[in-house]
Amino acid sequence: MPKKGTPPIQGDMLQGTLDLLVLQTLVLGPAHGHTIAHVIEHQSENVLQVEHGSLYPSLHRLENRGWIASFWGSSENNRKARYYRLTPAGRKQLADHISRWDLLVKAINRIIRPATE
Amino acid sequence: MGWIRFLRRRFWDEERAREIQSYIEMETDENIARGMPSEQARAAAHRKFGNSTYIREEIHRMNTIGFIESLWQDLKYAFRSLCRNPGFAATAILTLAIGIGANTAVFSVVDAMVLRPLPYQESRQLVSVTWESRDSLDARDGGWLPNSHYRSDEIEDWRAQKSIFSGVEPYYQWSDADLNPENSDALDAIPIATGMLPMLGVQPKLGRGFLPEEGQPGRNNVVLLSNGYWVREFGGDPAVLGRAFTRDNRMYTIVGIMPGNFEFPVGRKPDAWMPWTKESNGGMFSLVARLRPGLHIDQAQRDASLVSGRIRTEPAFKKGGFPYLSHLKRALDSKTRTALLAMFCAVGFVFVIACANVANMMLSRGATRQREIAIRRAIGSSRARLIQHFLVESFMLAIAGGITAFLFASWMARLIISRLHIGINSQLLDPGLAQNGRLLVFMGIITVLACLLSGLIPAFRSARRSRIPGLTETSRISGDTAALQRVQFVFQSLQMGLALVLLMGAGLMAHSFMRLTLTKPGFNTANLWRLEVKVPSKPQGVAALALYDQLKTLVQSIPGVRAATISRGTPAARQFSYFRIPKGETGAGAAVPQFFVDPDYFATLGIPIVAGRNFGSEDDVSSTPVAIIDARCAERFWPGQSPIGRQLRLQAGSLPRTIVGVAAPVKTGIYAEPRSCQLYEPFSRSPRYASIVLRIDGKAGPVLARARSIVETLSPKTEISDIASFDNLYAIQDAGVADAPRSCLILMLIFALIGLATAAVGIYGLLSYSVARRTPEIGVRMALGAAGGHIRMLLIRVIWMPVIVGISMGVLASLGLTRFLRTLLYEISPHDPVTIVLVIAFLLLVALAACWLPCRRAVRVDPMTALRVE
Repeated sequence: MPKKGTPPIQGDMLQGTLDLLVLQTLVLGPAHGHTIAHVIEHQSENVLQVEHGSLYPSLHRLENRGWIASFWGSSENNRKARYYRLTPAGRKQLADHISRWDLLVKAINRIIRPATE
Repeated sequence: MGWIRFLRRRFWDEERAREIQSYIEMETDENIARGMPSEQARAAAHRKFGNSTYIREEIHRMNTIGFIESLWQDLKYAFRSLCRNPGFAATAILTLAIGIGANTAVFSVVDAMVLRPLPYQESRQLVSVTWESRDSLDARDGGWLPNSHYRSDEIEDWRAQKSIFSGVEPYYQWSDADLNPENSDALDAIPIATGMLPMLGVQPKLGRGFLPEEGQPGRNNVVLLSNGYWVREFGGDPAVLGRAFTRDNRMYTIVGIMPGNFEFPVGRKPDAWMPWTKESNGGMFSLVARLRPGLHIDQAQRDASLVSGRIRTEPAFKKGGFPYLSHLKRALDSKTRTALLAMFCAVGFVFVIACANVANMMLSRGATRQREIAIRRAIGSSRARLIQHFLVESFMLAIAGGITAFLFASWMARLIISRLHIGINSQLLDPGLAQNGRLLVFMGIITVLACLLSGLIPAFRSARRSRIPGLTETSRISGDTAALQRVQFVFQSLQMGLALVLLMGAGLMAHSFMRLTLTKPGFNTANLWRLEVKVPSKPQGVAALALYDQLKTLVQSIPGVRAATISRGTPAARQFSYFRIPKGETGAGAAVPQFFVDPDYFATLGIPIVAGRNFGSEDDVSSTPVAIIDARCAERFWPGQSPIGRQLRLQAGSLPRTIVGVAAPVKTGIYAEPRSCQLYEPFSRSPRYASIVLRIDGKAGPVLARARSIVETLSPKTEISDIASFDNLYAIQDAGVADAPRSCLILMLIFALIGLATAAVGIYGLLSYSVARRTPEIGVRMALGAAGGHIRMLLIRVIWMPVIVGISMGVLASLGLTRFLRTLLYEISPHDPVTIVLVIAFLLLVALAACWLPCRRAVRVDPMTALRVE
């Protein structure tokens, strides 16, 4: 668990990939912030630990760009919550992001594991 | 969009706060479900979330700084990018400056003449009081002049109506300089009652107003100077207060200086104002009154009509007439209105052409910036962000253009007014550009408009691309050229069309002007001289008659003088009086030149009398007033009938004149329209200030010298104040006084040429860019054996279509629009075919010329270098 008091966002790289993770999470359907946070945590088998609060600036930024859209709905416990869904532009961005991520990973692998080529 | 979020920061902050709260709730619920006690559950939820205040601040900051930062970034980038392309920047800025500046200049003229509020306190409560009849009300044509009353009892009677007016003050609407335009020493001072300034609610900015005792005859030798005159004549020196100066043999003491924006009568800024007395100008006056506070003008009108029986005034007014109250406002006659409107449209067209040009330039630039745009999109710039970026750039250009325009708009406005001679003087433009709030607002709006018109389409186009081709393509032949070409096509034809309309307007005016100039003056100008005689003792009546008679006899005896005549008012001198013709005949009134001539006048000048008789010795002060009018006037007011024996009424209250003769019409100036009437009356009826007109045989020099010596010995201090030859006065290069048609034409021509030049530069730029872009293609073609002519045809096709389309649309538009110029055109139809053909030919020629250089460059392309660049 990251210590309290450390800045929630660790470096720009994490910020960029956080966007990717959020977008991917929303592929399966709309969700609200709480759900998204837990999904990321659990699906990565608790490797990716991010302060859940840091999600919200990311959501804000994504909404600014028009990649996700929000609406108020009611949650499972019948509480009012803000839901997010992927927009077509966001879907496209996700595809682009993923392909670039693949390129990046492959390139880095080529350097650090030249033997496997 | 960044700026929307920026403006709704607080809303978003609350939204986010609510969202965070809902997260906390949900996490708390989960924790409770896992078995934690409720406080611990909540605490754990907060911990899991992190620092919620920090998060909220972060988002708030994103909204604020995000936008401002992006704006600042764009500004810096735009500035750097423009510095890197000084050619583009300079051209764009200059083009916009011309568009903005010209519009501001014309607007300032319109503002000074129409929009500017009157510089009086509560000017809506000020009215002019005149006597009108149904006919005279109907015959109004914009440039209306208030009638002159004679009986000063009327003032007292109106003042007694305290239920209607809280103040009534007389003034006289003409100054000495107006009535005696040939006397260059006459003072341009309007007489106003001593109580006028307090009633208007205006104070002099230096010194004092008039004292009541200065309204007595003989004590009114004081003046209030206008600000403009004070600066011009006395250098704005405050020490002139209390000092005296002499004009036309009278001494005037300066008691105060009026503020720069003061005008009276409405629409006029004379050099000075002096107290009105019952004796000055024969006691004639016009009336301005202030309504009782709270009284509406309609009610006041009704009340005034009710009490009109009790008001003592000229019987002529009362007969069939009623007192008429109207708000003080600046009035324009239809000619001036048309001229101003035409100018406003012309300058508007120039503006659109300029913006279209800049837009085209930006589009071309946008096409070469594809790489940069692609990179921006790739790193996540939203479309809105891109649009903002481009708009900032065009905004910068517009601001720079606006500032440049500001510097010369004021000068241009002064130029327009001083050249236009449409009855206003350039002093009306005080206070200047910088202090006029309305003007600055207008400039601001125009600048924003310039920014939008020139920047919006390129911005949207650049942001529109959905693919990101720029990163992968290396050649300069960019994608999406078809769409780009379509947009540029539209711009180009728009420019051509507007340029055509402008040229058409200017062409028609030029044609009309030529017709005007070529019309003969109507009298024989050869060897005809005018000498203005100045007699300081200002004789009147019989004494004056005797003096001038003696003068004429002496001059006639000079060898070489074929004929001589005495007259007040000659062609080519500004003279006027206002005369009305009672309805029943035609009801129209007009301001026409009035001439006081002796019987030899017509013979000396060579003006034939076509009907009736000349003046004779029987027409003098004691006989029935008679008049001779010119044939055009007769035709206009009594079409098809003989005007002999009919009556003309001049100022209401004066005796009507009987028409005894009709003379051939005369042009009162080289550029004057023969449409304006002339009215002749016998000199003996009003033997004041006069000129001698001589026809000289042989050398003029000695004769004139003899005449001068005769005049000087005639009576003490008499002299000749001016000598002019009619040959000169009617020569083309001497514009003389009423050259409004010429000035108007010059301005229209200037605007049309500016518009055309801008459009031509647009063509040139477009074609150059086309050539640059297609150099590889041209290289290939030439390598394959294409001839120079073939290449040229290829390029011509690029711009030919927009030119043809533009011209066609332009012709259609001008056929519809030019009929509004009808009042300004002299004997030319607004659809004059000769003008249309010439204008189209001229435009085609210019377009061709603009193509020439880029075509030459294209043909010179060396295939080898072109292909290597690829």
